[in-house]
Amino acid sequence: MTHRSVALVVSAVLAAAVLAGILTVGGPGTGRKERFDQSRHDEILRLAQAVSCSNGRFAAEALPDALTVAALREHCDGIFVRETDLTDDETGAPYTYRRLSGTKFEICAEFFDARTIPVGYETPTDLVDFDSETGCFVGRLE
Amino acid sequence: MATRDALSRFVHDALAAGRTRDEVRSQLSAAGWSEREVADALRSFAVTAFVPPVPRPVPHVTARDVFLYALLFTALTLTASYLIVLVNGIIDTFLPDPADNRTYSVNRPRERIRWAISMLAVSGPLYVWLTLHTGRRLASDAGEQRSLVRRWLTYLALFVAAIIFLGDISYVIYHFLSGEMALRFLLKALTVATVTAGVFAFYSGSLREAEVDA
Repeated sequence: MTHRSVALVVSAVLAAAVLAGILTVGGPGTGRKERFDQSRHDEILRLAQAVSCSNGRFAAEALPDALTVAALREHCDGIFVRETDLTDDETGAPYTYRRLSGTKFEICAEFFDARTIPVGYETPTDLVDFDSETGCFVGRLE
Repeated sequence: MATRDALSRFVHDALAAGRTRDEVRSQLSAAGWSEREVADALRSFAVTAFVPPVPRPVPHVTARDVFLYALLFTALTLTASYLIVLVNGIIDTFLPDPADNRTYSVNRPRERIRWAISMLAVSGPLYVWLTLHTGRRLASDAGEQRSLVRRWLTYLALFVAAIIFLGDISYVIYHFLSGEMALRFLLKALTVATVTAGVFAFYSGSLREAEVDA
C-alpha cells in the first residue's frame, strides 16, 4: 500500500466519521442550545428545591403563592434565589409555576431538548423529580 | 576485547588483501564472533571484485528525521485513538443502554463525540499531510529507507498501537463482563480491531520493504 493510497483511505474514513459525529450531535448552534438547556435545568432545579424547601432551615407549611424572590424567601428560610433565576437566560421568558395540590407543584421551562441533560447534575432528593418529556420539575413540600 | 570498529577494519583489510568471504567468515567464527556479527560485518561491504572493498550505505540519524517522524507518529496515535472514541460515542448514542448508570454519569456520549471531532480536526489533516510528505521523500531518495529514526519510530508506533489495542480491547471486554449490551460490545470490539489492524498492516509492510532493501 503506497503512502498516497493510505492518505486517501484515512482522509475518507476520517471525513465519514466526523460527518457522522456532527450529524449525531449537531453543530455549534445545537451545542449552544444544549448549554442553554443545562442552564434552564439548573435554574428550575434551584427553584423547585426552594419551593419544596428541601434545603431550608425550617419546614414550610404551605406552597408559595407566586414564584418571586420575596415570596420564596418568606416561604423557605435560608434559601438563596436570584431574580435572574426566575427567567430563561435565552428568551427572557419567566418559568411557569403551577400548584397541583396543597403540597404538590410543578415548575416548567421551554427546553430545546431536555433529553440531552445528564441526570447526574441533579442533587439526589425524593422531593423533586425532573420529567424530560414535559421539561418540568414536579415536587412536593417536605 | 575487539570492538565493532576493529571487526569492520579487519573485514576491510582481509577483503582488500584478496581473501574470500568464506575465509574471512571461518576465521572470525573461530575467533569467537557470532554468526550474526560476522554476517553484519561482511554485509557492510558490497559483493564485488573491486579492490579496495566498496562500503554499502549505512543507516543514519538526523534531527530533522527525529522531528518529522516523532510528529508523524504522535499524529497517528491521536488520530487512531480519537477515531475509536468518536465511533464508540456514536454507537453509545444510537444504542443507549437502559442499564447505564445515569445518576452520576459525567462522560456523556455527546461530549465525547464533540471532543473527539475537535482532536481529529487537528491530528487527522496533520497525519495525512505528513504521510504524503514522507512518502514523497521516500520516493525521491532511496536513502530515506535507511533512516534509523524512521525505523525506530515506526516500531515505536507499532508498540503504541499494540498497547492501545490491548487497553481498548480489555476495556471493551470489561464492559461486556459487566453486562454491556452484546451488540454494543461487538461493534466496539470491531472498531478497535479494524483501526489497529489498519495501522499494523501499513507500517509492518513499510518496515518489511525497508529491511528487504537493506
